[in-house]
Amino acid sequence: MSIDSRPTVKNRWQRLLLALAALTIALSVVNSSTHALTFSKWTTKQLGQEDARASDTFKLLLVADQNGANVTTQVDQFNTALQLISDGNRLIKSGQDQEGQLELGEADHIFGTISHDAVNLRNEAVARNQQRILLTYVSAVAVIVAATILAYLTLRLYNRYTRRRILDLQFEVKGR
Amino acid sequence: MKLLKREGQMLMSLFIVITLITLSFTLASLSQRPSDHFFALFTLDKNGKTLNYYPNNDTDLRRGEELNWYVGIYNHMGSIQYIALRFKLLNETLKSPDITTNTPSPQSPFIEIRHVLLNNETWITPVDWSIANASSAHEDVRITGVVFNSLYVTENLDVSAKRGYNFRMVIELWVYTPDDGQFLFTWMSSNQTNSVWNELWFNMTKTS
Repeated sequence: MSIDSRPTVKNRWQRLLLALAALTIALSVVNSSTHALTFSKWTTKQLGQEDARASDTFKLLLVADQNGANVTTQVDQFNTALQLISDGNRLIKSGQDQEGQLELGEADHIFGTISHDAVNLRNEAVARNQQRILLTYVSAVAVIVAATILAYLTLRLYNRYTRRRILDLQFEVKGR
Repeated sequence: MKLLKREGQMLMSLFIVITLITLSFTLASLSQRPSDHFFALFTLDKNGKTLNYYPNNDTDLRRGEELNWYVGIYNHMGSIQYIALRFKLLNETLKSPDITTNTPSPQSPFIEIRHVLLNNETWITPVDWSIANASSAHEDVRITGVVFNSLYVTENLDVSAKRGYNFRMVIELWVYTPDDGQFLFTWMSSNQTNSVWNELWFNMTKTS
């Protein structure tokens, strides 16, 4: 008497379904853990990125300021972005990842606007400075030339006046 | 001929004198005057004064008792500055920041506030805080949590003091240095290294 160990058709289908279910569960577990890993990695990267973005934007703003640009509005926006980063990090820490990411995204957008404005402001300020320096030197040269001519003419007039006085005195002496 | 020569000499000497005078004025107007660069850091009470930092003027705090301070910074560095205020809780034995060696306290901050200041701007920020977690064991009182501007903080907070005496809140000013790409406790002025910090002492003898 032999025992047939081969599965019947019904058994085969059951086993196949069970294997599929197990595979689905295993895949979902792997997927969720990978997602969690990716998300946590991305979050850490994102926080670092925000810090770097703030630093880069500040450097641009500083250059514009040092060139004499008025950066009051941009500084206000920068501080708003810093507040958003702080709030975003707080939300992420408290588990509200989506809301936190939104705040960080908003901050990133503001930094982008500030960077763009800072470059324009810097260029405008540099052009204004160059114009101012040129104008100062041109007016200095004009002042030198005008003052020299004026002083020379005044001296010549004074000389002529003195000469005439001497001649008048000579005539007076001869007349006597 | 002699007269012409004398007039030429006169014209040249006039030109030289006037050029020298005008150039000295022009260069003075274009160059920037060097000025002393510095930051000023101050902590005020809820009335904006330096009198009543503690509730009922009692330095012995209780759990949940709120302190309302204002921390201000004045920027006289000649340009915009990116700064960080770092708050640290210390006891009397933990190392303080040192103004002579310009070194910060080695303790990690439990909170940090960042801000950008315009040149010649004074920025004042409210700081409302209270002790949320404190416990006593043997003779020591340990603080492990505070509420800082409505935020419950426990990170970098584990400080104990004998019988709850001589805790202190230290506020350090850190300045972003573009060349280093990081915040530093110091800044340079007239080739000198400077730093600034504040501290306010308190006790917590009753943990209940």
